[in-house]
Amino acid sequence: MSDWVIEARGLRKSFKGQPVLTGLNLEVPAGSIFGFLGRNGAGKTTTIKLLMGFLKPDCGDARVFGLPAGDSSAGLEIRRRLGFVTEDKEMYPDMTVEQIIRFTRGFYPKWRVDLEQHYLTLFDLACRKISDLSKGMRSRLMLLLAISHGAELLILDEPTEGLDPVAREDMLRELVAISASEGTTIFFSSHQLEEVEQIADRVCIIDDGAAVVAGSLDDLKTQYQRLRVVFAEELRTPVRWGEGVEHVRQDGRTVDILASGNVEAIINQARSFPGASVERFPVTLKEIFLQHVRSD
Amino acid sequence: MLWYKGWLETRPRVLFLIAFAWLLSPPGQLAFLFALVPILLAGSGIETQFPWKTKKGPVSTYFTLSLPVSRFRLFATRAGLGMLETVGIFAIAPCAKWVLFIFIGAEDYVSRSDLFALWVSLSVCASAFYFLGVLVSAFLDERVSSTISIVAAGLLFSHSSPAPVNLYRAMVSPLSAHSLPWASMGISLGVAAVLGLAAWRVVQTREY
Repeated sequence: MSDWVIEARGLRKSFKGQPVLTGLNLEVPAGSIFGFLGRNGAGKTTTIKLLMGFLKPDCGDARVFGLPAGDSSAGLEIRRRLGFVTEDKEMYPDMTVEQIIRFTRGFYPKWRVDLEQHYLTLFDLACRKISDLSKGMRSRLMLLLAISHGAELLILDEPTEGLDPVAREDMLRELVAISASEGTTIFFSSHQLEEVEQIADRVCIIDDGAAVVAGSLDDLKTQYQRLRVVFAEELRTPVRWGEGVEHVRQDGRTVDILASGNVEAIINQARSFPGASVERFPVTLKEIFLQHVRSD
Repeated sequence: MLWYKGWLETRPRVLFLIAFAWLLSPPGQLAFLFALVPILLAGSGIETQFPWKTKKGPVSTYFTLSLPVSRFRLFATRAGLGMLETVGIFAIAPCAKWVLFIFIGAEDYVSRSDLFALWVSLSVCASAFYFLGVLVSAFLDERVSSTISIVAAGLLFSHSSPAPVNLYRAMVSPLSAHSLPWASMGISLGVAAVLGLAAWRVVQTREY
């Protein structure tokens, strides 16, 4: 039995000859809150569609709960055990909130009425027609449906899109709460780096269809450091920094360095210059993200 | 529950088509328009919303596909429901008109046996049109599939085709021939089976 709830190896997918995924590897441990990040068109939604079995990979292997995601009978078992919030947040506009809850409940024998009632009240969704709901409200309704059937895994494609700051904060708090109380694994894609940083314990950043950074958020923040070196006088020739330097920006006597490791050696190298002072700063997820996905 | 969902989606169309079929009864020069009934009710169960409900393309597809239901069940339920609705409309509209004619004392436009034969031939001959619509809706959302199906139906089962293939004429032939159009019904069922299997194959293998 695999330790990973989601596992992808060498996942490739092209559309009309245009590669979208170029060998994606992904490992999502049970019980984690996993942030899946990337620019528009990086391959996040394609990855999610492959995990859901909506698409089939050109090559590589995607598994959810250890079951092959592309297999139709395994797909049924996977979908029974997970909850999904789609990118478009579209459901059946002819139904009311009560009707879609009744409809969805019919497919899940372990439906949790207590969770349904809790979120119905919390999200203030009762007595409305789906076609009258805003995207943010539909997002909350989808989350209610996903959570209430006792899902072991939630796959959320930009779940906070369309929500106002208060509603977004409420939803993030509920995601953390559901993960803590039910042990639910949460895999969510987002463009909001601050919210990923707020709730995720693990992240994966993809760019051009492959993972460029993956791991525990705490480890990444320990591994990545920003250093500011102030030299006694402006350097005439650029310094050849050691291994681990990801990005260097020089402004007069001041050099800003983003390091992804080997930090002590870089500091020692900087201090070897007469009169140089070095300060280190923690990095944000945004800095790590921008460093890895900027094409320039 | 999938039946319920399908019914909610098609309900406005069913009501509209009952009225439409009522106006076409008793079948006359415009009898070929009965073919619109199955085409407008056809659906393959995945891309399900009808055009006037939404501003953009296929909706709710991913929500539907995320349910723990096989694609076969989605397809079979929706295709079965649409066919049942078609058969129901063909039963309700001409019969209601017939009852009305009797009630108001007007001349009986058709005998009871011919009325039953009309229902059978309408329903069976409609199956070819219906599964043509199902096949097209397996590729396209219902926004465009109905239009394309109508054009395709016009081309495939031309109004000027020879008798057994002319399903438009066969549908209402019991009123003039006083017998069922067995050859046309056989052709229709055969075509419906082929189109239905092709539609299922598309739904089974298609990526969304």
